[in-house]
Amino acid sequence: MIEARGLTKRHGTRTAVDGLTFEVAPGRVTAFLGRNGAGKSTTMRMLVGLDRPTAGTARIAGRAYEELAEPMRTVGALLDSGAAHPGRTARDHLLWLAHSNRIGARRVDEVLDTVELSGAARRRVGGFSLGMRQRLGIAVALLGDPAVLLLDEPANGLDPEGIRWLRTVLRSLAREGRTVLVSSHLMGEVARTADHLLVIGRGRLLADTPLTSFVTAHGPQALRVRTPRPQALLDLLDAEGIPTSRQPDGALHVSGAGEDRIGRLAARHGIPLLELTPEEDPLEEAFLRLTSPAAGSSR
Amino acid sequence: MTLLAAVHAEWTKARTVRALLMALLAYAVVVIGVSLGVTAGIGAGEAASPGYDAALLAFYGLNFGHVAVIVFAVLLTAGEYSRQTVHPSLVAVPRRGRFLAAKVVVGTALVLAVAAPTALLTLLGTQALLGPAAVGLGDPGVLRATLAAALYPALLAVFCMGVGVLLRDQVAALGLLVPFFFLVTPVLELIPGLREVAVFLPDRAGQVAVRLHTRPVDQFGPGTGLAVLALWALAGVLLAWWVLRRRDA
Repeated sequence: MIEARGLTKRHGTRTAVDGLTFEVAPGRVTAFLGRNGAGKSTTMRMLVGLDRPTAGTARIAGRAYEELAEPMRTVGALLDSGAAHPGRTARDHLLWLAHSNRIGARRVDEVLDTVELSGAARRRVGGFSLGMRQRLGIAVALLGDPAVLLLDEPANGLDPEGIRWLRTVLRSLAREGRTVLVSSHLMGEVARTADHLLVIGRGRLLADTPLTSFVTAHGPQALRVRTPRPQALLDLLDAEGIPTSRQPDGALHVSGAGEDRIGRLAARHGIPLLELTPEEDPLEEAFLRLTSPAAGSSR
Repeated sequence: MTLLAAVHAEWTKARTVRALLMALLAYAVVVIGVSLGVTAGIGAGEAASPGYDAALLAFYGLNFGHVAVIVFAVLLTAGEYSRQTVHPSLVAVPRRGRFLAAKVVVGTALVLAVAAPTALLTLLGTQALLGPAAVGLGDPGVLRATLAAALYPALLAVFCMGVGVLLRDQVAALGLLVPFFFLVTPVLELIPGLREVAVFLPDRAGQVAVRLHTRPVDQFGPGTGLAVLALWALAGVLLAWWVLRRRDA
């Protein structure tokens, strides 16, 4: 369980995090979403005591991070892609971290295996790809077998296969009853993994909602329709009360009705369809709308 | 108990970075090499001249070796910031005082572990070159000077570790400390009017203890000299601790 109460961070006159209050519950994956610079990393850094809050408190498992005697056994954190000395081997990097929290060396080999880096254990981190570094950072987070995981942009630098692997890992960690907080600036990246969303913009909490409510609230998918008779289809859909607009390239943008209904309507009226495809991801759209600077100022 | 875990972690960190071990090796090579070279070159003539200080000549290499000590101390501390490894370090050991204490303990121990045998080998090696003019550990002040030649670099390292944490930047810390201790303080010591103040600077004070004879300009003896250096070291670490506790990592 993670709790933030009125968490605030100001750098001079600039407010990076502005009175954040939220709880992250165990047993599910919570996505911490916001555009770049929204205050996600600063919040994460305050949760683990790297940055001192200007106001407010952060607690993990009921205590301030600094009060945890061997914190890596309670909280696993991935920040700045794990920041490892390039001259150290992956194993040595994990080994000193293990020693700092009295974690056995056997656990080092276990987590190397979990993140599929056993083969590179004795190679210097300086020669690692971004994806390998990210896996090493995830290994660090898992080292103490913690009940709480804080991962800042863990998908950065991972290839599609790596991202799929990460999703599986996150889901199984949550299923084991752990608290999992994952930040991302891409809605699409977490939409298929998260159970709960925390959305922030300009340091403020914009949404704290289950993913399913977010999907329901932000409605059905818009469609892109191409036909040799756009005017006929436009008139038809207008008559049916389905909001439709014509795009610069001649295609129609249809919202408020699914593929099935549009397809059947067109067929019944003998209008051929050349294309009937979903427009942008509605969640991504909703996220961008929610976090756009204009939305922030109207609040 | 958790301080012990932090020390264990710092020890693992230090022994797994090649540059740190190279700096320590460089210290031994430079101190022994320069001292032996200078003694072999001008030792016989110096030994016959008035005001000859056997320890000053024998440990001449310290003047160059302490650059390696500075590099070691700065890599160990400011290096964490340049590499951003300070973030995982403080996530693993969030008590900043404990983190700093562990680092200083390991850094000091490593410098001492290299500086002590280096001091002994330097003395034995240089005196072997001097023949009849040689002094031994049994002669007055020689054992003390040899011990000081081991303690001086360790205390200097503590001071530099404090500066490294304060500046958080390898280049800035090296750019300040190396010229300061290699060029500025030796020159200040030559300027009348400033020299009486300059002898209180960390390296100058510490080196008083490495000589057999105190000079007129030295306003204190060998024991006080090391104590003055120790105070600088303590002040550096306390200031680093005070700042480290307050600021964002």
